[in-house]
Amino acid sequence: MGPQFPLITTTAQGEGFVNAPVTFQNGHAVSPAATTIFLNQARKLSAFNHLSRRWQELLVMFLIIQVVLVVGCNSAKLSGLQKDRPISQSNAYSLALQQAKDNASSDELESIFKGKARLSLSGQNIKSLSILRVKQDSTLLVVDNERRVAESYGPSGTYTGTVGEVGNGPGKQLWPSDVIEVANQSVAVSDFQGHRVNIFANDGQFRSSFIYTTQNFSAQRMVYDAVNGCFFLFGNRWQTSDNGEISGADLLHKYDQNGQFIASYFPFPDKAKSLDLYSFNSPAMDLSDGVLYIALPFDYTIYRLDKSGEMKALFQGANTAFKEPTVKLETEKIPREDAYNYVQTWRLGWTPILALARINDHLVIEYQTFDKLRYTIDVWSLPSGNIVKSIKTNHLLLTRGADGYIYFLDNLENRGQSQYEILQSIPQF
Amino acid sequence: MRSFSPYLSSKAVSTKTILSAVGLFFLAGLVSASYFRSARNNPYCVRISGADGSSSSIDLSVLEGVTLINLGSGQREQISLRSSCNTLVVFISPGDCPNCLKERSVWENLATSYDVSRLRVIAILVHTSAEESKSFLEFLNLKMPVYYNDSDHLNQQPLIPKETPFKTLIGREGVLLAQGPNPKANEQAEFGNKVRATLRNCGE
Repeated sequence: MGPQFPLITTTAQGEGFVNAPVTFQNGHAVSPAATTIFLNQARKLSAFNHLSRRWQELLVMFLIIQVVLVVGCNSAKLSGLQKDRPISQSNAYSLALQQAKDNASSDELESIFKGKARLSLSGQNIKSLSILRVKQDSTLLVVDNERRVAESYGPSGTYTGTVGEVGNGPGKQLWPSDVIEVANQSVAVSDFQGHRVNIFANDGQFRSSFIYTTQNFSAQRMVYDAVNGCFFLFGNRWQTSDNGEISGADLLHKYDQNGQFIASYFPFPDKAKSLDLYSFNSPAMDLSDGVLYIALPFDYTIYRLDKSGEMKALFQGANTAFKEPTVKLETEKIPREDAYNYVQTWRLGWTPILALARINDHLVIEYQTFDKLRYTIDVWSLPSGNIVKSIKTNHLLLTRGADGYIYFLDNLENRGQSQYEILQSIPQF
Repeated sequence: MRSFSPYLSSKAVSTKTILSAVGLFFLAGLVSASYFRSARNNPYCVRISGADGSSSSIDLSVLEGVTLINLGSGQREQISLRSSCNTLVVFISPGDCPNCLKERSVWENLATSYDVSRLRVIAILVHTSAEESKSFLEFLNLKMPVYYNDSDHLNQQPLIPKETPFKTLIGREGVLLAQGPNPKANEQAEFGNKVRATLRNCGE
């Protein structure tokens, strides 16, 4: 899932005033230090001095009551506003999640993947687990889309460090979008906002960087082709017309290992332009033996880009549970605090493709169907071009690790979890 | 034992103390007012409002005499804001400059329309490395001198704008015009026209 709308937490105004206590003893106001000093200094003013002690106290009490009333009104107004927010949008998504949770016992994942271990990511407060990649030595690489950070975790899930610094410049990232293992156990991080790929050695030291600004896009995903020594970056976000509107162009961009641009492929589909799906095109990708497999979330067509640079459609999911989007998402009318649930509810109207993995002679495609369980997984045979198995599961396929295992998210959601559990598994086909 | 009473503490705070506090308050106000006044009166100071609502000011006078690498010649050069009657300085962060590719034609038109004694157009690359600068420039091939900022002196100054391209037209007496990114084609052309209209003669 690509970068989502940032969420805003509303805080009540005037809390500081509410916390100022006022007590009464024998009919006299006994106020805390701040009020006392105010009263005492006020006594020194001549106009105030002319008033009797009773009137002075009454005046101060009046002022305090005014403050309490103003704060009270503000709080009431705020809570009233919060009640007025549309909650139907969040309800549909919550109900779908609840239904998936209730049907968890019918999860069929184990019919095709045998669980090996369950790993708990610990040591950092992950807010949104948007990317998980696994190195050959089983080190876990994570991107948290909300905290905008790339991190590494040991094979058991214990936090070991942050990959790169926060900032704009070589070795720094403004908004990491993907993290992968490259040559010599090094790690590359793509920066969505800084339009840069940073490469760090195995010990975390910054090695080199390259920028991809000149191809006019923002990288959402990245894969490294170890066979041919090249990077593939995916993204289109700021390919704009003269009027500043997104026009879309080629989505896939190839660079050599020194960051020299080679070529762009894969034009943004015309039919997706009418629904303005530019912000919802985070692809499902996998690269195996120098061949790249890619699918867009709104189109069940698996494309294959071979070593020669030829790109062609491999499979089309005509007889599957897949449903393409038919309604445009109107983002302008949504309050920012409701954006996440609104988008999730919009996604209930179709079945976004979320993951793809080449496993032996098979291609595994996962998409969100909320058909009793959250996801559907189709297993395609590459030699025959047919689906050999289709299952329902609540587990999101996160990555095919370089260590040979397949990693699934054991939580139902990838955002807002107190603990993230990763299921390490072995394919049974 | 003394019980708590508001009247007791009134004796603890004397009139002298209150007057001192008020005096200090006014002094602080006076100092900050004079600081902002001097910043406003500095002809090389520009106030920038960011897209995120933040505001900052940069003092472009620190550019005078700073040494940067000319990426065309590979030589270190000392920047002089007085070598031409007007100097258009364009700050570019190669990684984070979505509009640079579109706006470049406006700067290049200006650079080729005037003699360097009348208008000198230069670009300064910031937030980047020598390797990144090289590949960026190879692709862009800008028709103007491009400098790479590896200067510690420049990096230490609150000079580099957050959003680029940041353009500033500097005359011999100070900043004449300053503008951040222009995403739309008509805004880009308008900026070029503004520069042409604002150019000063050396005697002015």
